[in-house]
Amino acid sequence: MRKIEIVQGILDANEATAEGNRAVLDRHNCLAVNIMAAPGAGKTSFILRTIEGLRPDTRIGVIEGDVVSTVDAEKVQGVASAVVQINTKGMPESCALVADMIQVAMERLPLDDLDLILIENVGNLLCPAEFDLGEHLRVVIASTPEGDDKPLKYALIYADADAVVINKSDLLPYVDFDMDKFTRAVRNLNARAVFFPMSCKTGEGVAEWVAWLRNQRATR
Amino acid sequence: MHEYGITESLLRIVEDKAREAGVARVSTIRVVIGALTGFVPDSIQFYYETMSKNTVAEGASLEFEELPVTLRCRTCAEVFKPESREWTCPKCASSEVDIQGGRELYVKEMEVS
Repeated sequence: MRKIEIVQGILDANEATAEGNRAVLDRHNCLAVNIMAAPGAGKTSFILRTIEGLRPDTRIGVIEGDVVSTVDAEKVQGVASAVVQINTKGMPESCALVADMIQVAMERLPLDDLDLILIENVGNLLCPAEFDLGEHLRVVIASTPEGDDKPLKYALIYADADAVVINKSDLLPYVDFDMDKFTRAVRNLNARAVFFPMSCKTGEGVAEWVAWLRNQRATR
Repeated sequence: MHEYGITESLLRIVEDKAREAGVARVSTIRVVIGALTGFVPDSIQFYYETMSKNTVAEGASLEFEELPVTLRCRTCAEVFKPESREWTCPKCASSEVDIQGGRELYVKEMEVS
């Protein structure tokens, strides 16, 4: 009996694929945004608002991750320049997108004709935090009915976010959500995240986010 | 929930190392999991039993070592392990922290014959 030291990261293979994806995107001068949130936080509405805000001068592709349905892809079809749907059911990971899936989806997108790719991850605040997809920006959408205590519960996803959208701001008068408490909890874990209170229903706050995203693209 | 792919990657690492070292049988695999990751050892164990069949590591026992959350205070640079869900620096009481440890996931070593 002898011991063999290994010390090799189990996610190394995913990270290598993610780096490869990022290199392909960079070569095409295409910015990728990984959008993560709990189910029902408003990921698809957020994507629709983002496309609306950036049209017509930004060509946008969307990668939709969903466990089984094509409901979200159908909503986005027609407004985005290109849409690819990934159903994760039957794949090794059904609770989050992984870099391999993005690699395949990217082959089906006209990268030369796109400036931006919005990736809608599977609705889940735990698993998506672990998998780098090759994106340039990570956005977490919180929504006010979820409550203001989530950042500590889902520390990893909030610690790594470049932007945190607080959706459903129109419901603030009706729900127990303390904006200061929430932003402080995120700030405690993450010194760089930018906050965007927003209502995808009324359109409030969308312009600020769109301006920030435009700037991210311009300064890269 | 995402342990299937994780177990697959784990087994691939072990098989590659076993081949490199020319070993006949892997008896124990030690895996390190950070407390902040969502990976569930029982779930990895469950997939492992089926997946490792007919491999050099069939039936190997999996041992999991959990690493605690380690934080670094952004105010005074103290490194500490939080004792509750309140992540407050024991030295200066600041809550502004960077996560230093707790997100690990790696194969540490294996015992072979």
